[in-house]
Amino acid sequence: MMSPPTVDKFLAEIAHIVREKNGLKLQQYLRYEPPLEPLYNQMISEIRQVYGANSQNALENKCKSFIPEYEEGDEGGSRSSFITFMVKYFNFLRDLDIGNLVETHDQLKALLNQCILALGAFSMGLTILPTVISLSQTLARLAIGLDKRPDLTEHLNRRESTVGGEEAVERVTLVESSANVIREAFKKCLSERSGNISGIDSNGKPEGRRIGIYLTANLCLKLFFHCRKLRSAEQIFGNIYQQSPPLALFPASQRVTFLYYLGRYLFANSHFYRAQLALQAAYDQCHAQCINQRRSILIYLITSNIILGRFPSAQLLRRSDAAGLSEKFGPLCTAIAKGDIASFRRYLDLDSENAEWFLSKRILLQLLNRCEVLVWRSLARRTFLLSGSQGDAMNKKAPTLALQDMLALAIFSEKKALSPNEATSQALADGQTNTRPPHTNSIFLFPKATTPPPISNGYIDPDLADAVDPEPPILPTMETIESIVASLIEQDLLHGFISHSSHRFAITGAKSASPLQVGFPRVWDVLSARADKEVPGWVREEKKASSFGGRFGPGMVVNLSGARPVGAAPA
Amino acid sequence: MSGATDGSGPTTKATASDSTDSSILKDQQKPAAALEEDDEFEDFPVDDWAPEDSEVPPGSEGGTTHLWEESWDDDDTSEDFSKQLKDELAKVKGQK
Repeated sequence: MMSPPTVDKFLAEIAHIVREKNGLKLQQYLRYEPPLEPLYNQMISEIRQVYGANSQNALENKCKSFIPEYEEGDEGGSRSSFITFMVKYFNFLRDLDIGNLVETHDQLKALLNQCILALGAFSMGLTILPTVISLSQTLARLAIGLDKRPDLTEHLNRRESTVGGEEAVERVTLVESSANVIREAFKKCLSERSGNISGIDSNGKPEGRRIGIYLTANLCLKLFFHCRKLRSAEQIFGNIYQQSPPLALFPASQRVTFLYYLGRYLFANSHFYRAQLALQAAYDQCHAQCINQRRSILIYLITSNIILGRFPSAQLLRRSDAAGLSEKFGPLCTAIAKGDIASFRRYLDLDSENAEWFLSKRILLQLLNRCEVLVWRSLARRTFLLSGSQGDAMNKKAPTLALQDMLALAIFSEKKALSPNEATSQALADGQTNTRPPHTNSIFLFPKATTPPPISNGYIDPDLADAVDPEPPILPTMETIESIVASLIEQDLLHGFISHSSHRFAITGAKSASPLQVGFPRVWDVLSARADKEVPGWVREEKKASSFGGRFGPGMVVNLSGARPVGAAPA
Repeated sequence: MSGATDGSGPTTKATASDSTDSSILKDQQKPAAALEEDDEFEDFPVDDWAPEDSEVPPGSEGGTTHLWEESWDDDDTSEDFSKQLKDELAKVKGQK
């Protein structure tokens, strides 16, 4: 059998590159994504002729003849995992069929898997890393591309559901399965043991395979967010928090992407202050010309800040990366500032056009739940402005507001929010009917004043025969208002106490400043003062020999950046 | 793959064709991407940049450090919304 000349040349070059440990060059040579250069196509036809599915041993021996398993003078250990990878690489090229992307995805995943095994081998680790990154990027792109083409993956769902049998197994989607493979690469990068405990080399850069930590982590996060597996994302953040060198040592694109996902994860878990810290850092470090990325960050940064009582400034909303956001968030901020419950509720009503946008960004429920508190605070403040008693410091009479007045305004507002007149006339004016499919979650089912369903028609479960249709929402009562005010006091958003006997809210400590300032402190001041500034998942400082129990001792790095000379005045 | 030892030929070729990005795998996702608006966080075109590249130029559109309003309480009681509330309070009190 004649030796295939192109395969021989190719392997000779690969062997040379491997000896040179030139990772970037290796990645550039190991091309796999069409369109391929003529030389690669020539190589593919040679492989098809000589190395069919039954000639795997011959192919492996061919690889070994160029790339010895053990190199003399190299203490790197075995290269067998890399040789297996090369065999799989040739097979991948041989079998590649762009017409069948699902199959291609499977093969690419298997190829990456083997590449990651080579990444784990000391001999090849750093050299193969660029190839691992490249394969991971392509796999991620292909997985997301396929996820958007249900027509191509439909048969997979059926295949998986038959594999699962009768047991209710959680279906691992194509996207998630890809993420799980890339996560193995991430773990190998993160668990690099070369160098000292900080993982930083003499040039101040992450040492060895650690340079791949955030590249692989960000790909995993992209996929986990795409398939909504936030718990898997949490593991990535947890691992990084424990083992990664500081984020600041990595390139800007990796820092910004990571902080974006971290911020979104914290946001989804209601850690709004921490989300705001991560997202603000992402926004500040994002390239000024990357408008789309800045805008993506800004949507969550603005939402977090509004929830924390900080509104976007007019200057911020004028930036090109904020185009269109003023229309989305402006009316919300106005409603919060005025204490306008009716506008607030109508603006975020599930049937409104805006709600759809907020929902698609996954910020609707947070805005609804968290900002309602701020609207109530503003309504209490407005009640005080309109009808409060200023008190009399001389006679020790505290400024107060009548809860009865607040109740009257609350009822007025809630009625307005429910008013079918305004809502329907608006919808008619817009020339639209409600085309949105009914929400499947019962907590979103808002009783509407429609005709009751015919009772004689259709089956009614005996258990539900006596069920009463849900009442329309009950308007607030004095108890509602008292509990809302008590809750605001508890959260430090109102400063004072409730007098139950007189049904009044009294502001305490208003001797030195105006009752408005004392009784209704700024929301941001209150919330930021008690927020935890540490952001789990974000490594901001070098690892301090925590494996020694975290105590001071020999070899311990002490951060003195915040230390002052003895006797210096406090800042 | 001209010379087995220098190996410079295919490298330049490979890099050049990388930048054209005319891959089939990539093309596959374009029509679907338009439907989902900007749900995905876009990849950056470059890996690293200097801190000053992140600064929005001052003077032009909104180049400022003042991004957030912490004082937004609305004390104006003369506008429409407050008037409505005032009327409502007067009405309720009149009923008593």
